[in-house]
Amino acid sequence: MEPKELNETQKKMLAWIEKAGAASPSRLSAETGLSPKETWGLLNQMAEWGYVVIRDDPDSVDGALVLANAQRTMSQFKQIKRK
Amino acid sequence: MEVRDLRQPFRLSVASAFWGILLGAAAIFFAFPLERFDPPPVALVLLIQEQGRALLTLLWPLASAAVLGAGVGVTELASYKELWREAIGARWGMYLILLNTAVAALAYVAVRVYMPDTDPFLLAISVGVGFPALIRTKFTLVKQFGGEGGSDIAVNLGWLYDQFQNFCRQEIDKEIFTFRQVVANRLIEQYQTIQELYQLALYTLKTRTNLTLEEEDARLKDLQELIDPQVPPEVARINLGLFVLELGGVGYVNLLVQAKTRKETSAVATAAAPIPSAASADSPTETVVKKLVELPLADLEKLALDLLKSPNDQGWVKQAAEPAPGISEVRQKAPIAYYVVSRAGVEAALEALKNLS
Repeated sequence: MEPKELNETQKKMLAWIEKAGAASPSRLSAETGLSPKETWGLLNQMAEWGYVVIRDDPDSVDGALVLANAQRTMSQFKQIKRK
Repeated sequence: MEVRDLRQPFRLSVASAFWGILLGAAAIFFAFPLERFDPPPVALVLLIQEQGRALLTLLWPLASAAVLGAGVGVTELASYKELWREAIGARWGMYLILLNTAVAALAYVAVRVYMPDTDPFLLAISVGVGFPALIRTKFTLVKQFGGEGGSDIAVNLGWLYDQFQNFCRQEIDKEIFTFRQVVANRLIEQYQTIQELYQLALYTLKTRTNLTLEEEDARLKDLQELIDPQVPPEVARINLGLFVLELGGVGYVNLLVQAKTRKETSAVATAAAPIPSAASADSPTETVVKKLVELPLADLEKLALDLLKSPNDQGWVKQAAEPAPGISEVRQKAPIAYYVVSRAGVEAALEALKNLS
């Protein structure tokens, strides 16, 4: 899937996910101040475009876990390190 | 089944320190002749030193060949790359080293018998290093007349040596596999969630500086595959544990486990604590959130509105609690629970829960 351009809210979400590495979508919703419905809608789109992975997680309160794409996170980390 | 700690031989213990000191003292004792001392020590000490030195003079080429043979054995185990210490620590790894030591010593004795005039020093070195080639030599006992050698009677010690070596390798593989599984399980017991393990894996990958670009790419692809939604959670946890172990090594994993177990604020524990925000399943926040989510949505909304007084917070809670088709109730309640805990704090949320009941 070809990565598509994220909107500002998605960029904010992605930055938070990449900082945390992984989090439950509910926590992301609470931290970013987005409603649960909005959060899930945007996350599903980001997962479809390959920015994040959403998977089942029995340890998560909402039964799901959103994980940053490892390759993308690494390249972001290197860019920050270079600066 | 008891699993041996394959790193144990590399840890400095009282016993190893004792033997080290004893060997050092013996080396000093035999290196400096005491008869030159004035006044000379008692006759018995002089006799022990003299006899000991004579024995050492006789045995040192044999001992050198044996030590070099042991070195060859260790070098063979170096093919386990990052697991070379575990390979040496494995029971059959030690047997392999012992076999090499014994074979090198025997080869030295055999060659010495056939070549008594050769310089012992040169012989010890050449046999110690070259014995694997030497024992692979085919020793023909009876040669066929006029034939092409097909019916010769020969001793093939090399074949026997290779068989034993292969057997040792198989057993070492099994022992290392079990040991790694135990170490990975220790990590998974302390870092129980996929979230924590993935955060650890990413952190470890970021801090490993000696990987080539190709290696790093390969690891990143592996990591991405490990978290694939198709992989069952239990399998993902085990694989992530093994990934961290492979990337960081046994020492690193032990440090992580200790840091989590002790929860100390010492420099070592703090340095090892990978991500301060990593939320474990039993952290106070997660525990309170789980309790809040057990409430009916209406009660949770009321609790949140009672606790959070700012217009912004109240607006968010009301919006989050509105009916949302396609979103399950728990996925509506969990964000509100997290929101309450992050804004009001764990203590206040617990207090509100008590008041509600």
